[in-house]
Amino acid sequence: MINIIGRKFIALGFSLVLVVASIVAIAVYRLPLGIDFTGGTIMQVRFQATPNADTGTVVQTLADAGFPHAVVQFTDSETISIKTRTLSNEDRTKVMSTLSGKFGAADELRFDAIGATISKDLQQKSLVAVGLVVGMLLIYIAWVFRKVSGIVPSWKFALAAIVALIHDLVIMVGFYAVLAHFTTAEVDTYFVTALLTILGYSVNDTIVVFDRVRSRLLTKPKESLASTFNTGLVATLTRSLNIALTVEVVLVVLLVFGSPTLRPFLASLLVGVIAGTYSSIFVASPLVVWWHAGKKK
Amino acid sequence: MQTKARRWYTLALVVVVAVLAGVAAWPKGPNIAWPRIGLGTKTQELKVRLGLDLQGGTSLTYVADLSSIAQADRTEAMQGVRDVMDRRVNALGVSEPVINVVGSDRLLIELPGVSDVQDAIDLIGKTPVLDFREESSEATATPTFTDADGKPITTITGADGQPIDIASLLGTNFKTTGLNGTHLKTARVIFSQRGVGKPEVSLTFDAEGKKMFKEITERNIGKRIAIFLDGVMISQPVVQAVISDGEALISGNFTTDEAKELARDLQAGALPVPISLESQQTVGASLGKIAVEQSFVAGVVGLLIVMLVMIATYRLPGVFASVALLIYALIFVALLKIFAITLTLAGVAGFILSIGMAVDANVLIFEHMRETLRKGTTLPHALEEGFSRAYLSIRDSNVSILMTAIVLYIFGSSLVRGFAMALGLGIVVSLFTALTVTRTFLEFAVARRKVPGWYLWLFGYVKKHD
Repeated sequence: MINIIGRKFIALGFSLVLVVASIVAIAVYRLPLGIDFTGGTIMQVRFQATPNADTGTVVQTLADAGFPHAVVQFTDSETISIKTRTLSNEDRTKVMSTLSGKFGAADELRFDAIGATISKDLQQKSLVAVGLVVGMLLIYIAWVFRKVSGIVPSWKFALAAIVALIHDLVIMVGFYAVLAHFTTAEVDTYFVTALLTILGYSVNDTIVVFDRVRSRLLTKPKESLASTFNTGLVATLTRSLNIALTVEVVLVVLLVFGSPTLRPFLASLLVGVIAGTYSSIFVASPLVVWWHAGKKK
Repeated sequence: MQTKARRWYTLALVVVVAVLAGVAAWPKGPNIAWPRIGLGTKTQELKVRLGLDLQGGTSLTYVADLSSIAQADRTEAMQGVRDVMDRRVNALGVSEPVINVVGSDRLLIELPGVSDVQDAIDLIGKTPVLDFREESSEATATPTFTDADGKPITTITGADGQPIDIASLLGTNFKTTGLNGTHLKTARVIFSQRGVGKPEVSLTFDAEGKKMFKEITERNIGKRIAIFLDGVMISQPVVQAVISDGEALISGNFTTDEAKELARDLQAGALPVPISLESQQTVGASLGKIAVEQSFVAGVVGLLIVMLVMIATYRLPGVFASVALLIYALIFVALLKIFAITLTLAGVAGFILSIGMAVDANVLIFEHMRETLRKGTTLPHALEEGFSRAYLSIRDSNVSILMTAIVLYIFGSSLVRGFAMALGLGIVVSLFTALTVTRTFLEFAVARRKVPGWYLWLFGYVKKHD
């Protein structure tokens, strides 16, 4: 049987390295914020003749010209509305010339600053919401695992699960910082959605793993803590890998065959699911064993 | 192991639900007529509402009248307008609007789909403008009114027969304080303690409003504070004492209905400044047609792969789980239509991901079943064991995600809410399909008394060679 708990310091050490690397990446590469956070410019352009283009081609043309993440909508067959990052006057001329060059003569109907959709107020509220969720989860896990409190206090399980969650989220953000550095990815509402999804997934996964260990703790009280955990972990390995694999396969299919707009979103989910599965087994469980080591069982 | 009768009842239930879901989920399916008490029926068109990125919609541009706001406060005022609008439009349902402040005084509201626009415009139009003003020594010029003989008129008679000073009514004696409708936390109707028990509207301010109100009352003890609704003064109480608990009362000659309506409108969100509709346009989807098609195709392919993996790993139970998965998809789409939830691209990705989680519950059960079978036992027993041992895990993990979804829904902005709704829905539905639907099929499959070896193989159990 694979000894996971026996090698817990390797696992925890590896996780620590990843977390530190992520923090460094975030500090060094910084996270570019999308126009949902920063606001930008809205332009309305009318072509003199119906352009041979659809939303996709216009977005691509603008991206190639140095304006990625433009949100383009047709308001009638010759007029488009473009939302993009804040444009300087040079940018403005460049946008017009790129569009006319590719799709035919065009006139600018409107050029205005557009505010953020996620205001500071909303950002604060969201942080409060996340804090609340974490608090609730701590209480819920501690309560649900109370039966094993005689052996291991259940709040240790709860805390370990939260640490694993934070580990996953930090790694996701670190990954995104690197991705944003090398591609045009930005922090937008998609990325926020990805973080929220993994928040749910990571806790879900950790609870399932702990559940397995719990049933063993209760039925084999004489066994050492390390051994109980290890057997439980190995037993749950198949299931964890199966689920992670299923989800990853679906994500990869979406990534390859789906729209390119979603790629940064899907990539962050991909990383998040791997981290979530990994952390339940190699971070949360070893942490509980380590914390409780040496204490009378 | 369920009794024979119970098995058949559950199967009947599953079939009925699946068929209903199928009918509802079918494109161009029937519309629902909701019976409304005393008002006949209200027809709800059953269709999937797609977000702006997938379908496009209507773009409304509003202009805000910032003339009574100091230059320095204008950005904040526009931000307040934006946030109130976000709440108001969302009160129409989970419609995932996109709302931006444009320039210095305009608001751009983009709503997916077209048919509900009139509702939205009506609702937006009815947004009240509430603000509080204090007495000002610098009276701005009051327009002068003269009667037929050329004599100036300074008062008019109100509905209750009492004279009202025109200058006060128009607010020319008052200046704005910055305390307005965006600082309201709640507004409700209460009945006055004094005298006849007339209806009044009780206001509670949020933290910032509370502070501001305290300061305003401190500055104005013995003087009047005027409450303006939609630019008209409705009340001008004299400040008796400093109010630090953030509660205020609007008492006027309201009928109960008027008070209720006012409280309701204020509660949904009161604007700090008046706005008017400037233009209305149709906007196309922000994602190209190809992108949309690509994503849907990829989604279907993903679903098929999940089903294949399930069948390959767990064989017969895998087949049942796959059927349950299809039913899950049908029910999900049907519920989307019935609850009029808007689907954006992130929502689609979320739904596809939730399929993975739906599979999770089944995987847990099957793994336990397999283990139990390995210990050497009958199929029905393995089924029992599988479900009972997996149940706790499934319950705990799903409850934790459900809690997350609920908190996010209450606190989030429109994007987060749409996602939270889809997630919550997915959890609840997948619990049903994974537990009830799969179990029903399995119950029938394990009901035989004697099973040959190959049948066991179908359950993923391979006899160990001793």
